[in-house]
Amino acid sequence: MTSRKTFLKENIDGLFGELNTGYKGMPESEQLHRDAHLAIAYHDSGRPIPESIDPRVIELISKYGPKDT
Amino acid sequence: MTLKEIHHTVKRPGRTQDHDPVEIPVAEELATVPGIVKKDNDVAWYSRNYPIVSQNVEKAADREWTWTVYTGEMYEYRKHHDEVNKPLVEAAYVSGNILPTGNVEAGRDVTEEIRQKARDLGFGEVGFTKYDRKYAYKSKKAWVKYEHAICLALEQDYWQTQTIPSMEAEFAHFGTYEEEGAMALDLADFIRELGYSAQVHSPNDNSAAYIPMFVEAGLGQLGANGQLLSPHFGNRSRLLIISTDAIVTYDEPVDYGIHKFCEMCQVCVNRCPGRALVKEKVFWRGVEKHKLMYDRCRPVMATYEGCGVCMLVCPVQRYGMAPVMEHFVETGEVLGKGTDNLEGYEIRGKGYYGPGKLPSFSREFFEIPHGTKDEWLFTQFKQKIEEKGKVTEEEKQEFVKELGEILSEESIFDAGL
Repeated sequence: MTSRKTFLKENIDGLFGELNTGYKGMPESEQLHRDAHLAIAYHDSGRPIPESIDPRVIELISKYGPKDT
Repeated sequence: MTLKEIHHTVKRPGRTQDHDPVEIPVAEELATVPGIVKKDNDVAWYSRNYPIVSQNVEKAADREWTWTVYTGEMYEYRKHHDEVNKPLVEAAYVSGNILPTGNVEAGRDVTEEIRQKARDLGFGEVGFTKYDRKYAYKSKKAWVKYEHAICLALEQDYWQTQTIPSMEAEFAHFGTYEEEGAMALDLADFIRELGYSAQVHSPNDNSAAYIPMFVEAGLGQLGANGQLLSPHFGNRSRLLIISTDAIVTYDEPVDYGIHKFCEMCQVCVNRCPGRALVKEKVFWRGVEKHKLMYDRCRPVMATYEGCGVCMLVCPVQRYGMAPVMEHFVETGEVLGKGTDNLEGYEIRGKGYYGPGKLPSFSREFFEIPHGTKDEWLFTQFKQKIEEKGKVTEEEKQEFVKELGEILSEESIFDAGL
């Protein structure tokens, strides 16, 4: 593991809270959830998030991700 | 530049028919054998001398006990599920006796037609192999009519499953059984239209330990959590079999690298709330596997909405096998391991447990009934005699009455419906 700060419970709750508020019940909701978990995992491992991840998820990663400062 | 050498790459169809096929790189150090390490002579010996007894039968006492620790909501939901599911189990039980409706085209292999129909119906994984009677339950050996097994896995809802342990996840768990029970009856009808017989082996009144046949059909490998890890949804699926006399071609077992991966990953082992999973493998009935400790698992499972933490925290379930294996090849690490995202969970009334933290339970929490219902009644009666030195005439009569009631419970289904 890297020493990079990883998503903690509050970060995860914030991200999925917004995802559920915005997309629950919509057709893309499930894929967004899959993408979000995968994107958090890549973020936590210090690897770049793949282009295949939905841009809406990447935005949420930036918004709720742990700050390195 | 990747960190690990690739031993081989597994190609599999997409998760659904709308998804592209996937390629799963298996690192040199993860390669073992296609399928599973087993000693065929031992498997056969145990099957002959100690045929597997369905958990529904062998553990009937604690299965009955689970109803006493359910929450009110869980109790009502299970009752509802059993009512909805009963006609599906009953239809499956007699499905092997229904005559084909179509005419056979002599010599024509119908493997791909059946596979396509199963995919059209929504099954995520479909494989063909011999129905291996060595894994059949003692109570079902004579019931199984046909020699080929069509192994079918239906994916359980992604989002709901990530809320484990919860009622939401239980809706997904039991809902998937209800859905696939009906889908299997449709697929059996299709096989009969092709001119062949088909017998549905209900996922709730199982005829055998199904996972070995799924492994043999190349649909995944056995994980450290004792569950089938398949390429797209890991252990997040529900399994059933249809046996048939149709002309089919068997699939081959595959080495996805899971055996070595699980030895290294160990997230499910470390995160199990009941400490029921074990690090080291053993040979059990001729098969090399991680053998869970049932008595550590069952109380947590019954009390906390089916638990399922071992399903939740499996990286293959959460992210899919291809990203997990690619990540290992790139970095030598397990994707998500050590993070709250993969390893965190909440236990009702106890709170949140992040990586490295586990709930604790009292010793009494793990004291549950054992064996069949009559065995458990005997055990309790014996304990009473040992404690008090004798029993009253009234207690003797009560024992005989209860034993009579248990022995007169008759059901053709192991599921106890």
